[in-house]
Amino acid sequence: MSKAAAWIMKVGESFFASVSQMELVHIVNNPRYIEIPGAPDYCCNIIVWNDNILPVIDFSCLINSTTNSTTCDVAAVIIYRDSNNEIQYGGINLANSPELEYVDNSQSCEFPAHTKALQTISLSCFKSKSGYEVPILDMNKIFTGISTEFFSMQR
Amino acid sequence: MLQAVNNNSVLSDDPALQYMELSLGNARILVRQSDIFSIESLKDINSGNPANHSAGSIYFNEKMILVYSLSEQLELEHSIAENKTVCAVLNKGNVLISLACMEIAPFKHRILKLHSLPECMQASASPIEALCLYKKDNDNDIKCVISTDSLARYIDEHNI
Repeated sequence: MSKAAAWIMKVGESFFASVSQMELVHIVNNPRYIEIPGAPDYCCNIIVWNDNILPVIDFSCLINSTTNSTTCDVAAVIIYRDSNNEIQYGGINLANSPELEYVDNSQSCEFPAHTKALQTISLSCFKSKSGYEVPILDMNKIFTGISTEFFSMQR
Repeated sequence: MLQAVNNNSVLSDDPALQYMELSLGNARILVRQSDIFSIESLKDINSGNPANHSAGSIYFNEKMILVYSLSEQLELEHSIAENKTVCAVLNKGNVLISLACMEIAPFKHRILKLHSLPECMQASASPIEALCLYKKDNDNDIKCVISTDSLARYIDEHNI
């Protein structure tokens, strides 16, 4: 069975998420966050990387409605396509450096019960070697605006 | 690794476009100089109308125009702080919108890039049209850019 490389990112206290190897292009240590007024709580900071302005998603805030953290030591630089199908860059707050794992279809699993809303912004879910249920995130959907369906399922 | 070969979100990197910097307290925003029709004093301002989210009104060119005030979080305020003594009268076609501020001055830093506000940041109503990356001393920094159009849309969203 063929395997695909995926970065496993710790994006919250006990929450993991994944992107394909090609989607994560850089890791920024000790990023400098700049708050943008009026932006949603889960995406109210930007970082500057290679003269690009990157919106940063805080999944802890998105999933648990906690306060957006600006103390994360690590941010992942993600490549995605916007609504015009143009290549853009975005950031994701991480609790620590991600790990690369090779996964295949045999690891497919159900989404964690308490995060059903994630299905609206994920492609699928797999069980990692460490035993965690890890959603594979749909970066295009996340960075082009999370749908109201996600938020209504959150309630 | 894919390289970004274009950047559709760059509105303009033309250094010839001039911007004015408006002080809203600790927050400072940029407005294109071509959007600013006039700079007026708020000395004779009339009280505002919470119904239309204005903070006041002034006579300008023999007409009464509404004055709006934004907080440091860019939320519409129903009154104007005492230290906001001037306003920028923004103009686009027949639309005149006045924005109160503490100070208005030419923006003198070198602009590196302008980005439209990222889509994921547009979930909530915002008067921000773009983010400006500029050179500041030996580092880069960001300023929010507001236009007559984006401010008018923001006000309209509150009036719905």
